[in-house]
Amino acid sequence: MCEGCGCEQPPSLYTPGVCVIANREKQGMAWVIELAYSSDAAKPFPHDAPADETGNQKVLLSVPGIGEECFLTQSPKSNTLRVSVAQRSALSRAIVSLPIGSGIGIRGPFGANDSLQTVFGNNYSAINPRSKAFYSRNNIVHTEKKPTIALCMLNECDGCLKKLSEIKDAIGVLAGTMDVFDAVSYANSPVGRYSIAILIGRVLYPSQEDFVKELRSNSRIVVAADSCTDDTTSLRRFIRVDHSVYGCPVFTHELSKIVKAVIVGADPFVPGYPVCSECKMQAVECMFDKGYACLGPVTRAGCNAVCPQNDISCTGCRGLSEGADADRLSTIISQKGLQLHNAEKRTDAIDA
Amino acid sequence: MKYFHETFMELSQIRKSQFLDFVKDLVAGPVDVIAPVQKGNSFTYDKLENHKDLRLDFPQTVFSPKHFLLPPKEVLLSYEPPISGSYEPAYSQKDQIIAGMHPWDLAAVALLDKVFSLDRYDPHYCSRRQATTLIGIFPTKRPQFNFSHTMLKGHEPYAAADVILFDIGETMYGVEIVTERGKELFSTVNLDPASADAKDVISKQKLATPYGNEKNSYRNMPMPLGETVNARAEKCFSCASCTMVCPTCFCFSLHDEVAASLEYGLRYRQWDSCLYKNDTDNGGPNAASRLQYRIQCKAIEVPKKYETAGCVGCGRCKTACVPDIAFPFDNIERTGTEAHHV
Repeated sequence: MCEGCGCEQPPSLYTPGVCVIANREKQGMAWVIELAYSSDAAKPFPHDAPADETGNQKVLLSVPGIGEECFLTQSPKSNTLRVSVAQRSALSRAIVSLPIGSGIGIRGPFGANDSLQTVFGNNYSAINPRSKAFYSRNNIVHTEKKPTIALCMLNECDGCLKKLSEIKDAIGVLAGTMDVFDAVSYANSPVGRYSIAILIGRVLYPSQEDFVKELRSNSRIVVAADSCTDDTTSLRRFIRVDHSVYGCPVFTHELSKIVKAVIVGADPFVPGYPVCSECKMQAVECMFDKGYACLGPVTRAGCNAVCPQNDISCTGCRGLSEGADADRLSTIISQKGLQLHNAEKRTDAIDA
Repeated sequence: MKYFHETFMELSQIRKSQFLDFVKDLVAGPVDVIAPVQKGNSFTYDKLENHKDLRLDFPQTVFSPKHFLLPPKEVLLSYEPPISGSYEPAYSQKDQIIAGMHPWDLAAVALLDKVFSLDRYDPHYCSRRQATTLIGIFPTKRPQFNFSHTMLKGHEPYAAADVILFDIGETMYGVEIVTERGKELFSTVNLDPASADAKDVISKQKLATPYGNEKNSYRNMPMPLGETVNARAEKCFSCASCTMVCPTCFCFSLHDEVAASLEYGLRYRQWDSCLYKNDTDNGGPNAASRLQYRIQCKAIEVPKKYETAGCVGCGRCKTACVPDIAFPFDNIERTGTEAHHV
């Protein structure tokens, strides 16, 4: 029986528990909060470990809908767990903007010599009951008016154009939560005011340049689908872009995931790891094992390894993964004398 | 010999044709049968559709059976953002039998069991594990790159297995019933008591397969020092293929995704890796520290906490690594004198 909420499930990572932000000591860049384990008031929980052993451990805090992130604990002065939460992400902003007494999710701390049971009793896991933070920062939904989305095709090619109806469908599903859905093109200005502007393609002409700048200043969030751009035509050369949708042509499910996350004020989860990971998760046979070259080791994942699944080498359409070293991969490929496989069938696989 | 598991729980034998009929019945039944099958040039665990696809003579699978106990992506709960306490746990497990598990994979499951049940009880893993029956098989030949003889202790595979099979010749499997659940599973089959010859072959196989000696046991697994790690880190793509195919890597990350209606959301977990270069940088800020962290986790942290090897020596990471740098055993050999023992 769970002691946290009295439910039938045994105490676990995911059992709703209670967790209260009790105290904020500092303001500014680093906020110090206390997490206490009581539903009613800030009640310190027992902590038997020596003080010098408990600082600098990793603890995972989460707010439903926003996400979960790793923070460091501080050496406690009293019998409470202190975690410094610098405001640098959607989650940390959400946490510090929570009203006193709100609950948040916590896992850890990890790295302690004593077991979690010793540290927390059975209430070590807590997921918040109600979080105002859900809409607090980028409070697009929370405003009186429903959000408006502008979808704008710049200089895109056939691929994204083919996807246009699919994109409209995907965003159209969200239309229940939105007021207006505008397909804007740089030809038929004037530019209105939008919560989210989705820009697809490259910037080639001066008129487009003015247009995207105006759209930027009139939009709260700009999402760019511009994997096809190089340095000179990139949107980033002209305006600040908040989120990127990768892939050529644009991956519709990723676009809608990002838009949904933006609406609820969360940081969208876009993988930074390479396609190799997704191949392994999907149990797809490695293209290198088959004797072909593949750009999977250096290409950003998020496509569910759709090409290798269909016996097609990854051609890197989603750009480089975090910390990728493309030169070294090309050395390996040329040393082994490998060739990309079925690359010409790529768009069929993605469209299917 | 003291690391060798000597207690014959219940030793019997079965004709291979008879066993295949038994598998046929299982496949026709309601329970999912997961077993090694051939796919192209390699072997992989997959749901068995036809008993003829079963390949218990497989050398090694590319992917570990972890896929069926800790799925790569799994929905844990659903929530309704505006409503207080609206968390509904989601379970998706069904009864399954995983057949053809090598001793090192069984030992890996035994470790996962500890990780997900000891100090942090994980209802999702545990309920799936409770619905799973494991049938092991001792390999007649050690697979390429396998070094589990330096890692395993004799009793470890037995902590997870329900039944263990031995390939004892052209026509026979030796059957060692380990648990009550295994006994129940085989209750419909006529098992003959093992002959003296069969017992002899089985004990030889047990010795031939990869069991550790004191000198080479995991407690002495050396940590590679800076230079080796740096040299390897220069080649590392941080692609985490090694952790994805690893049967003992258990880290995961949690993600929330709201539905299009924004009225409810799902929290799911997916495999994570200390080798990823990302915001949290759990393994450290650069490739070298992340590589070091992975070995350290296997060699020090896990043995310290769970009193079992963090690496079971299957050698899959060696096969999966494109630049060919991920190989704990290789670490042991190459670092040799420069390594410090822990």
